[in-house]
Amino acid sequence: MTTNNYPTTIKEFYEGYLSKRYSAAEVAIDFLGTSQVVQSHTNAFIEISTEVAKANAKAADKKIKAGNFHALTGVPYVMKDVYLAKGTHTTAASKVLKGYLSQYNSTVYHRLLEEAAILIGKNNQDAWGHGGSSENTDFGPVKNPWDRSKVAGGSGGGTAAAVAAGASLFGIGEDTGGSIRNPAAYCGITGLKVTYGRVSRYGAIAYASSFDTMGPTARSAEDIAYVLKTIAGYDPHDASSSREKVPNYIEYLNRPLKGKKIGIIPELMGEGISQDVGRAIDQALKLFVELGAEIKEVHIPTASKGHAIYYILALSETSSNLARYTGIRYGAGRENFTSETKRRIMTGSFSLSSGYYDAYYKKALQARSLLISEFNQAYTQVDFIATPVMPFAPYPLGDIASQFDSASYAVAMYLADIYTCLANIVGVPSIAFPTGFNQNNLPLSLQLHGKMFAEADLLNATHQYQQVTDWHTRKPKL
Amino acid sequence: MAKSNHGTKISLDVVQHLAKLANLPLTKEEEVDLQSSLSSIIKYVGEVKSLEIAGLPTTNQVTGKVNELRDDIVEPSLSLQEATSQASVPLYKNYFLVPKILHDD
Repeated sequence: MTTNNYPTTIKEFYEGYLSKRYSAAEVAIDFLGTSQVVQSHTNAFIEISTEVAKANAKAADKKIKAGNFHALTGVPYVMKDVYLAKGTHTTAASKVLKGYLSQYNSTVYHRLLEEAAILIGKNNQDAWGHGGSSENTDFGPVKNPWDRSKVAGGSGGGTAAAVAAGASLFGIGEDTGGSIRNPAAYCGITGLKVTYGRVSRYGAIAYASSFDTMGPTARSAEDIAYVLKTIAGYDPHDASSSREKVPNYIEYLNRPLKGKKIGIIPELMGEGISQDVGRAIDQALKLFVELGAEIKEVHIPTASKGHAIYYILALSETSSNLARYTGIRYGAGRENFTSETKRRIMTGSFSLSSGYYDAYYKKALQARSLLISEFNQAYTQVDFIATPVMPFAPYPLGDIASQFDSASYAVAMYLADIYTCLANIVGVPSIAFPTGFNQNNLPLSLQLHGKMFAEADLLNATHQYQQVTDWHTRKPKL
Repeated sequence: MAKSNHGTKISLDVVQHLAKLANLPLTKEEEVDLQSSLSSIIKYVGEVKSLEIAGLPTTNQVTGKVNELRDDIVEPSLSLQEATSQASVPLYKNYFLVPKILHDD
């Protein structure tokens, strides 16, 4: 046996504590052990946080003994290595920050610490979030737990691989252009990109500040509902965090989907989507119809220009955010950025530089307004908008070019973000969840976008789908 | 920046200028590599120039939230020791030592 026999849902895990089937101390030891196995197969971790996990478990057992505990108490989780958490290093998978010890706690970590959830480790990723395959890392690429010759997706590939392989029940990612949803899709789990401002960004390393969102990934929408309830909400430390009320997401899960309208964008569903991905989407949408939803075409004419807008704005913001890494107050010098990160900083500097600002950066900010108005228009007709997550199934490590013709090689990695970056430009929430496997036993997925702050509706729709399918319960054999 | 970008490839001068703006030390090899990859990316993102967007407002903050400032009250924060604990270079009397950017001449 390579992993362990603990419950695989948060609800059952909680019930295990209620009935005293195990202690948090045992859980910590066993999941730390599992994470070592997962690490040796997938390279999903940059650090396994043994001491922190044991301390979290001690706090959990105390709460449990006192009868004062909640759904996440004593539940093992992992975090992308962008979250500051005292007692752990935080590297963003870059040797610029190798050895950097977290100086304070991020708000998301703080809230999970208060619940005494158990932090098992910090995950490998594309450095600074710069990538969609977890290969742009100074710690070696993450391998897909379903097939170790394939990428795990990115940028949060380590988090998704760890959760899929059973090293924890949930993971915390950061989604700027797809970094939670893309790896969730590639590892066969569920990932939620929240509305911009729904979860505090405080203490999480920034990629592009007007796009960055902090969110959960887990096997199921139900588990995500528990996690989101804990981490969402206003935070005085993040001026962009929202005061919008945080609903009890669990209460929304069982609402019927009858009469709900799912929009599809014909201009995005055509060429470029591989057959297996397209087929899985058709089947999933058919199932939603059986659950009572209606499918309706909506038009978002600017969607096909989405990632041009995204790459201008996000890279401009990253060139500015990464200016702080000077190798003085912390970290090593700027020559240590990977070539992909240098490319992104340089592209952003180009768009922001005198002479090009109006033609690129300002135009992209205006185009962002256009895209937002098109989404708003579509949402007067539908409740959700369905798109693929990724245009093709997980591809061989080191060979994204295999998915493109040679004319597109130079921008291939960027083209892969075409479906995920829209939600970040517009700010709406979006969920990716498994909808089957292809002929090579690699996970396939669907993405639903919701209205601003409509996470409860997205979790409801996904939960209903997951009540009649079992794709999200499948586990890779290590 | 005075250099034009009408061609399909940006010039080496532009690459060096951007590297200076970005405070990014590059090797000769990296400069040449970036000249070609930046050209491809910039050509690609140039798609936005074809959009009909004259007169549209710009959007920086998607939720429309305007900066929310707290009251100007001193609150606990990192101690001096914590704040300087990760310094990459030795401190000078509890100060970070930074490269000189202003010169006498």
